[in-house]
Amino acid sequence: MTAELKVSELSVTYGDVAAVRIDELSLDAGEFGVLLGPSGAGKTSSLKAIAGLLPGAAGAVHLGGRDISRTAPEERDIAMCFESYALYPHLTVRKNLEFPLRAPRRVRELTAQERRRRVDEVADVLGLGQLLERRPAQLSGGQRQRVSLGRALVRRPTLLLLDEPISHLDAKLRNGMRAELKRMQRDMGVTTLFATPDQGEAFALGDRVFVLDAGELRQVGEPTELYLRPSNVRVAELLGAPRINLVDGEVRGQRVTVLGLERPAEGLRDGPVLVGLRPADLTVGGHRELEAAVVAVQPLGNAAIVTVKVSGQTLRVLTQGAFDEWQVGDAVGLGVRSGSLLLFDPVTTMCVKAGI
Amino acid sequence: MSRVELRSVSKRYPKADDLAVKQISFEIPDGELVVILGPSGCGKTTTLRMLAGLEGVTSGEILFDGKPVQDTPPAARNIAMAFENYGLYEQWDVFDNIAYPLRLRSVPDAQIESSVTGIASGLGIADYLGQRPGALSGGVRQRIGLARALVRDPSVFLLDEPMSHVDADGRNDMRLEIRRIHERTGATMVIVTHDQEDALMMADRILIMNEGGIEQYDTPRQIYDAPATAFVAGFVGEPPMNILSVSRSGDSLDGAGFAASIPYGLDAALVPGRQLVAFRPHLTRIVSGPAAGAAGGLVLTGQVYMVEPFGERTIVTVQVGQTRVKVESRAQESYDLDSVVSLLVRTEDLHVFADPAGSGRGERF
Amino acid sequence: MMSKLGAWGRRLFLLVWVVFALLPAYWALSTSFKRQVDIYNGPKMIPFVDFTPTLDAWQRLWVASQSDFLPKLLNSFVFSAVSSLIAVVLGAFAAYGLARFEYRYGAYRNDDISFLIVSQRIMPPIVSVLALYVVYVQLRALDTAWGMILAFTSMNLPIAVYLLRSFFAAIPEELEQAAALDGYPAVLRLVRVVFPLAAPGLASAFMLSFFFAWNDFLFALMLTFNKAQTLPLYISSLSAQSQPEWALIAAVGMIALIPPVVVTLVLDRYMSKQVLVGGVR
Repeated sequence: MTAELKVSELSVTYGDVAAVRIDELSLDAGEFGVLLGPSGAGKTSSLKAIAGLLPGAAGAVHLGGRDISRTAPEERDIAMCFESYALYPHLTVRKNLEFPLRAPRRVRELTAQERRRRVDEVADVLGLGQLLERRPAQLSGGQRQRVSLGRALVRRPTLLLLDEPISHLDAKLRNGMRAELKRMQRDMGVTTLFATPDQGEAFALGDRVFVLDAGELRQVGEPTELYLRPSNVRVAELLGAPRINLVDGEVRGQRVTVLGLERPAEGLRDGPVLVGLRPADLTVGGHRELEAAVVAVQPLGNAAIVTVKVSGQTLRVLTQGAFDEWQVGDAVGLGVRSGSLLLFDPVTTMCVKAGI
Repeated sequence: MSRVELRSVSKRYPKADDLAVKQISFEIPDGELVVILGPSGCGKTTTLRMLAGLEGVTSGEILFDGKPVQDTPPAARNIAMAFENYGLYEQWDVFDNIAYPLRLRSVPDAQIESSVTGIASGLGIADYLGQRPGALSGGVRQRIGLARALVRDPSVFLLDEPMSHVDADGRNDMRLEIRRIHERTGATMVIVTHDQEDALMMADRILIMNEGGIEQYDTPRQIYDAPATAFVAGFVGEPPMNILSVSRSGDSLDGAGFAASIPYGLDAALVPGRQLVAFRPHLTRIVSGPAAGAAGGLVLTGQVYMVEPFGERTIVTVQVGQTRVKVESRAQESYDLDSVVSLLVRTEDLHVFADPAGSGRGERF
Repeated sequence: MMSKLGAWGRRLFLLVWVVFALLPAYWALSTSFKRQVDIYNGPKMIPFVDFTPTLDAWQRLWVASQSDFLPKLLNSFVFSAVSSLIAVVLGAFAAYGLARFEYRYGAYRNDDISFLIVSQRIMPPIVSVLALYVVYVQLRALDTAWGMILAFTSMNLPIAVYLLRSFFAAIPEELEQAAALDGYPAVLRLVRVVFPLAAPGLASAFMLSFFFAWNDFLFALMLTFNKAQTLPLYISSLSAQSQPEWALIAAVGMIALIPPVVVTLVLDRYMSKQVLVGGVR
């Protein structure tokens, strides 16, 4: 059973500090939403507030049209995968997976046999078949994470909340699990909200991304949309790797000047402006518009992150292909792809122009 | 400064059936930065701990500058180590934590002051010097542990997953900083990580370990361009290399549900029977439509399975027979799902590996 | 130093220590098999060599058992066990509250309340038992089972709360949050998740309370005179003669050792240090 989520005026306070203030967050039934934000942004608090685990939280939560704002967490039919896994250490994997099904409100829904079958099913899908009689202490990180996920899925919840469930796995494992997660969510069709600080995961997983920073939503949309047309500086910084370069520029007479480059900027008033240049939109080498000095080269196999200094500003460039030929101190040409500039108002941080 | 050498070093944990580290031998010249890279459980941390003296060596020798040290206690080896789990002294402030190793060696206060503040600003934690570690975030605490290790002047620096708790942006800056510190001190450094980007960006040479053994020990460039084994090919590079299990029959390569003509120039590298052909996603090009094969490379035909935009790049997954091949491009591309496309990989970008098991490399995590 | 001794040196050292630690118990055991005359004639340690063992004292004990010895033994056991159980149960709920919730009574916060409870034990028992005597007279609680159980419970409750608070605090709150989302209401969460994980703490608290109650002499002395007397009092009465029967006393002492040892053995399986491993990252 799947349902749409509607969260309004969510606020979480710890003592006097307002940790989270979200005006609105909605997911369609079966949608995979990603809550993207750096550490400390309030992702865990937001998820826990939606689950009803924080007594200090206020706001309205509607699931499938039902107002569950004042319902106890036991009754909300929400499952959560904690960043710390939160497995019951005194129970075997099987008992961990079975635990939700033996809760008082659910224990009569299924016979013991059916429970066993459900657990076996979930264990099968997640590759836990051999581990059912082990205790969490005897499992590796990847295995624990799968048990945590299995426990959330075994009861076919209406809403699935995932709090950085794969952040602490090694790189290879993480990528594999990511694909598995996406596939499982699609098969089960359960409305899901996935919290992560990793923008790459947001791209890979999200139908819709909610960018959370310092407790507030900065922008909501498809990942590519947020990447190409960020509504403010923070969103531009949080999507895209390496991080976007931000340099000071000036608008005069409907033209913007930055680093010695000039581009048309129609409709903008004169004044200072913050210009965003994505490392992937910059090119080095050969004869280009600007002259830069190489400060550092970090090779990446199929590309390199080259830090250059131009007009007193330091920029990072993501090159196409390896960058063996250049050394620190060399002078290189620096080019900016047309249509890639993002202009932000330095005071409001809002984006005033994109695509020039 | 020390030259580090391992000769036939093995490690068996008590009550274990298997060796955690299987007779590995390698040498690190004085002043090099070597990154030991591998998946969880491959033995990289065990190897580092043996270098530190925190684990005993079951057999084999470890030499610093030609002198065997495998029986020397850690304190006598003149090494500095930073741990993944920080090991900070909670009762002291950050400055004292970092200064501790210097104070132990009776370094004059003025020098302590400059060394500590220098390292702290380099790692971006200068603002926290007066605080206790307890309240600080994981990433900051990790950097404090790193600073404490780097502030000394030991023969060898050993770093165990020094950035695992730092987020993506901070990681890049820290990689640069570690490199800078390495260049400035000229010290021999050994860094353990499971993140291949860390390895590619920081290492003079990368030691790739798997299941207790060494897969390849080479410069990042070589490891990326010329992987010695299929494991290395699949481990280094994001997205991982496409690895196809094929068998040669006559003029064509047969795989699971597909066939391709052997590209000109690849003939010499192929063996009869089963083998693995591998190529990097970013060196694969999509040429739309079921085009005829070009002579200069491998041509595969398939249907578009998935298109994943990632901002800077797009990854298209193409279903070729029963295998999925990934293509990476920097353009913002879009393809209709299930549309038929052809993939082209130049012959010089192909790698061939023997497939002794006779079955494809299925990776179950 | 230990490494310098070498393996055999270590074993010798431990052997000497074990002998030293068990000597009093052995002494008592051997004494219980001695004749009166052997006891007065200097330390004789080895049976059949130094002295002739006899079952005299044990036979006397058996005879005296029904009327005297067994009722007191039973009293000791029942009072200790029941009061420990109550102390641990009540203490667990109090400790859980102090570990999880934030209380505020005027200027009093959790730590203050904790200290208030623990401080009851700082006061020397001789002071409190006098006051208790006066109150018990009024309540007609002297020499009653329920009176003794109540006294022991009040003596042990502070220890239980103090011990259990840190055990409960060590259990990650996210485990309870997970159980809540899994559909378990508050009390069930305590029973199914928290208490099993606090088992070492609960077992320790029970054992400690039991030992304190079992060994108590003062409360029993002041608050009982006949039916509710406990084992320590019986032993004391045996030695309050001009010619105490040491062998008999030794025999009673040996019997007195048994219930605490049994309690420890039974609860030992709950004393694992590893209960929380694997739960959270």
